[in-house]
Amino acid sequence: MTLHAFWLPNSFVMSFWLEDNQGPGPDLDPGGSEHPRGMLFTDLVGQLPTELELYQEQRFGLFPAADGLPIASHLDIPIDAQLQPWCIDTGETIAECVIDFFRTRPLPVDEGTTIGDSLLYWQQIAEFAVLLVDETLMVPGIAELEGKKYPVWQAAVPLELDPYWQSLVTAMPPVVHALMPDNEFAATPEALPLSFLDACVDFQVRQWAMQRNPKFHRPRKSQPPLPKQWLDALQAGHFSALFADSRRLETFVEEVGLWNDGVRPLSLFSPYRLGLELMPPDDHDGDWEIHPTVRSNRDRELSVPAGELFDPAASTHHPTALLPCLLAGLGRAAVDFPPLDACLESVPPEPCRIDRMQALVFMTEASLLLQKHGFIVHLPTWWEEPQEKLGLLLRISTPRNTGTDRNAVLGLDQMVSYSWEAAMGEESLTEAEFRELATSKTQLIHRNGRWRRVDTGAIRKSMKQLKDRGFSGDASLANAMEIGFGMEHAGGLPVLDLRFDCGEDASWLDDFRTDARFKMLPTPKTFRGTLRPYQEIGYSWLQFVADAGLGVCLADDMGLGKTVQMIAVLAHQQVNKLAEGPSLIVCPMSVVGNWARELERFAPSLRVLIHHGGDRSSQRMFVDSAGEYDAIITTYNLIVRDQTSFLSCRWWNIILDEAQNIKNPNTKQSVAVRSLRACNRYCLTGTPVENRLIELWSIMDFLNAGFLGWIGTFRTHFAMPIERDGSDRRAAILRKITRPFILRRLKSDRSIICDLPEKNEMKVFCNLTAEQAALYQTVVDQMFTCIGGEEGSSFERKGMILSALVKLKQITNHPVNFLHDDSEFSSARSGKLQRLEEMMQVVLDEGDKALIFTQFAQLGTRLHEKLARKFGVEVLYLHGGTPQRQREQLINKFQTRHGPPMFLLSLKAGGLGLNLTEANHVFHYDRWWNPAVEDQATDRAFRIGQTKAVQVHKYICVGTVEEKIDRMIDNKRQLADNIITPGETLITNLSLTELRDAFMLSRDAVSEQ
Amino acid sequence: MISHWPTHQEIDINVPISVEHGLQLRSQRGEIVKNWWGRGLLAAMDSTAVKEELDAGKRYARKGQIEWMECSESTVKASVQGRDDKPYTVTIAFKALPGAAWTAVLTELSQRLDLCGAILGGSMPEDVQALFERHDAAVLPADPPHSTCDCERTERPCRHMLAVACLVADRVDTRPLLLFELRGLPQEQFMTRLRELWNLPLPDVDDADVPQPSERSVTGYYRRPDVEPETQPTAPPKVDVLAKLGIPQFFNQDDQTSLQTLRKLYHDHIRR
Ligand SMILES: [Zn+2]
Repeated sequence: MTLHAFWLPNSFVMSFWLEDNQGPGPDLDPGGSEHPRGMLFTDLVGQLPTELELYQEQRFGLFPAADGLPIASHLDIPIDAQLQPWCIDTGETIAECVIDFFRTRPLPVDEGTTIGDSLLYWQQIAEFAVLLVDETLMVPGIAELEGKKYPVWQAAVPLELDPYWQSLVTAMPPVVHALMPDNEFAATPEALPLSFLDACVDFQVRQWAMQRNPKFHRPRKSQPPLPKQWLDALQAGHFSALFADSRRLETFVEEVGLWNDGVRPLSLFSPYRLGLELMPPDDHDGDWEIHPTVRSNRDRELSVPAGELFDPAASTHHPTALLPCLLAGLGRAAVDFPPLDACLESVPPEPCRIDRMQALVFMTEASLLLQKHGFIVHLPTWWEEPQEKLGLLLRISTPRNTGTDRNAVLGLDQMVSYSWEAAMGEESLTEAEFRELATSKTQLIHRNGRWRRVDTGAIRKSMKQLKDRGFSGDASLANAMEIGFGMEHAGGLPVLDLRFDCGEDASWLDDFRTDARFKMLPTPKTFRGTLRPYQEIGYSWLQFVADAGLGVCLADDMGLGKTVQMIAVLAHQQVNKLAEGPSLIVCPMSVVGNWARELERFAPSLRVLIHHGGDRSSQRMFVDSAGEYDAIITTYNLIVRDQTSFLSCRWWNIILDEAQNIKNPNTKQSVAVRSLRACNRYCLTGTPVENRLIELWSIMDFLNAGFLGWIGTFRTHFAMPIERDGSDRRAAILRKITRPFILRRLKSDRSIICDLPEKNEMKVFCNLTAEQAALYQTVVDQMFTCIGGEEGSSFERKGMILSALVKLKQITNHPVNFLHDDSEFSSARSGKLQRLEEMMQVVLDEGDKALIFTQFAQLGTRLHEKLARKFGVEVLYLHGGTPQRQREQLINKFQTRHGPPMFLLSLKAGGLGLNLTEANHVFHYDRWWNPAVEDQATDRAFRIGQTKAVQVHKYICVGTVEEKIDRMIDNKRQLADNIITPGETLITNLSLTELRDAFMLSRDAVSEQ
Repeated sequence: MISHWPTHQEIDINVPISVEHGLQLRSQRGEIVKNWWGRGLLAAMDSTAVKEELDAGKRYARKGQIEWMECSESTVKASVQGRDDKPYTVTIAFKALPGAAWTAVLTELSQRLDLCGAILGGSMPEDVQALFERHDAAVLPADPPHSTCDCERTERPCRHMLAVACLVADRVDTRPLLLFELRGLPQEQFMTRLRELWNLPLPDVDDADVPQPSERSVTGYYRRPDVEPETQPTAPPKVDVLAKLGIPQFFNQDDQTSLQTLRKLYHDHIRR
């Protein structure tokens, strides 16, 4: 028996067929349409692995025959044999199933079955596909199947591998075509093997993408833009067709084709193409030239000038196919752009000379047509480059002072004097220059030694519009901008920028530091700590804008101390008796503890109420007692739940920490927060707001109601142009009008780096969940039962305490870490994990890299899975069991510039020569309780070669033994900085009372509501 | 799913037995050819035909009754499936131009790159006809070619010949070089002889750019051809395909998310 396989490119299936070739067999029946040697599907199934999931199908195929009978495949076939059609019983399977089969060597086929050459052939191709994918030699493209367009991964065979691929193409046994005679795949020998190669490549990439990020691509109700659909489908585990109206779809398919062209195996068609290169003259009136060349589809660099092909000596270095490609190409290109005819008027061909108008036609229309028809067009670089845009500037002069200084808000409803002015990039044009441009006959102008294109139509339109409406006037800022945007929509010049001609009263709009009224404030007397210079600026600014009656957003990078700056403001207001009521701090549950600890540490004189947890005060009590506090900390959830309590107060400050929590303006918490009454409003957030426009709107609207206008107008003028059309200019304008209200400093800012210590250590206070607290209490109770009343430092007592310590550490990490079970490793069960996820998001958003240390390998494994899945990025993981060689690989990977952003380490870092200077964040998920070890770990990142400031985040659970030991260590450190006893030793020597104190869970430990 | 191959049950006396994947005309209605040389060639072949046979021939060609067709050295050979079980064999032999005429024509053509380009690109300006005439030759045959068919119809040319004639005209209409071949100049010689006239020696590089279709030989039907295979792929180069391609123009340049996704799809692979 011989097994044959046929790839059916139109249906993406592999068809297997078993042939009985036991001798000539006199009992063969030549009459019917069934192949006399064909075996049945049931025979076939037994020969092949079940994983193939074969299903039965009947097909007609062509087979060599003599005297009306098929000739067995192992016999010699006489030259006069004829191909004859027969029906065969086949087993078919989809591409996914077949690839693993072919990757197995030898092929997993039942013994006694001969493997036909067709199978060996497909096997070679499958193996080649594996090689390509291993080397990332694939390219996303689009395939057509049954009239639909499917985003697929395709093979990108580089030039070096082309000889091998061509030898594969040639090595095809004709039988593989047996089931589909004379269709388009038979016309070119490459088509059929390429189809299977592509299928193998596609499947592997998808399979891998699925393992990494197993999400299913679900068709949505509204169709996202085609590029998005395309990207989504490329990551999905299955095919999904593009959906759009047919013309848009065709264009997109073409664009993708133009993009991925150069790397696809294209010997399906000619491997060469005509290239046309446009050369501009050096002066305004010279001739433009188009130089014909022959270019390779496989090698983008290769470009042979036409003249060289007609040079007897030089031409011998090029394959003969180049010459007909040149001549035929020019012949066809001249249909798209007739002046090209001139190239072929002489032997050898000459570059074609055209004038400025023709050059413009070539660059605008003809080049698109030519590219569409498969020619490679090279335009001068300046044509494609973004050049200094010609457009309009809106100059805003001093907003009219509308009275009291508390209301000096520049909102969009502010009346301003404005004037319009034309500009080319940064350079303003005089009105005369502008008029001259408006009369220019062609769009190509040679100015200051450079060619550029200007949109004369738009210039004329704008000229007319401005003449009608006036070049200047008085209007609200919103109206002035609306006029400009309106002219732009009507085909006029784009609005490039907004310039404030700031008088002294409003110089803060450009830069508050230059405003005469801005002064640096001294650190408040009651503030316990030192503010870094940039924090002093931040804190002074927060107070300055509050004095001006503005709500503002402090958007410093994570780790720059937004909380501290805010606390300084509260302290300042308390000292100077500015506050006329309590301040409300609204934050996510996970940072309640952190706020409480930081307030306690930096401004102990402030009276703080934590309003959360099941035992929080009732509405009546709250209303009665609120006035007794300086600050009340609560969570976003409670703002909704206890809304009436909060509404009953008039707050002095409302501070929204992690303000991205109100990014959706319609959620209950956003609405509730906006309804609160307050004198000053602040937002704190570490994630950049300018890219998330509705979020920005929502935050700004909370800060200064109505400032960015009605949400619908905001969508039309900003959100849509910026997000959908990618308008840089609108983004710049939006930045400009929001800039006075947002202070954002980056860690990477030069001035900030100088202010920052090279190593910036921060404690991140987290809360326990109720589940964690219950487990914690159980362990503590058990421990005290065991040690009874025993004092001293007996070996057993020590052992019991240490064992309890480990358990408590595990509990503060995550219940799973303690229970060692398979239960869900969710962030809802652990305050630390929740905080880690939040902070990792920021790390990723900022393009930073982080090391995460934990002492527990089991936790490490779970964290590794969790982070990789949650963020869809590769997370490196180094633990005690990692072999040395692999360690080096991990380190090298992390140390490459674009390497994975997270590195999880579960081993004791000491003694290992790890150099991980790519990281600029170090997270200690649990504490070592031995400062020396902890510092050693931190120093992995903080080493020679580190160019960035390193931020060290130490996670501590509020109100637990973690916090107590942390304090003890800090105290000890102050006593004798260099000789520090590890936390474990400290604690085992404690007296019973001290021990109780250390282990007891304090009231504020839990964060659940 | 069973694809339909001709079986005996399907024979109907009035319609030809249908052929799966037969060769078909591109035009399914109206004129068969569009260009002057296609029309001229068709006219040379069908000028003496009876209307009924001509219509039937067109119908055959449009339906795809021609199983296969080969052109070589001025002669077309084809197999046409009619009503009979066995398909008919048709040959059409064109009259080749004398070698001297070709030499003269090619010599002049070598100075007319525009015409060479057009011919290679699939079209033939009327200038070409004039050029031939200057050398006392014609690009189109003046007389009907010599045709044969093994059918038993009395009309000549028969519908089978005419079907093949239509198909030949259809193919020639987009490939003037095929017309040259029918007139005695094999297609591959066109460029070879022009190169000689331009004094361009044959290149010393391998002309392996377009692989030749492996002939579907019957004798080696089940075997991989005896070619010298590159047994192992050479060590693949380190190519960053994405970097080589650049950022797709169809992404908004500000659309960082899409860009990052695409980069990630690649770079995760590289890191793998
Ligand atoms: Zn006939």
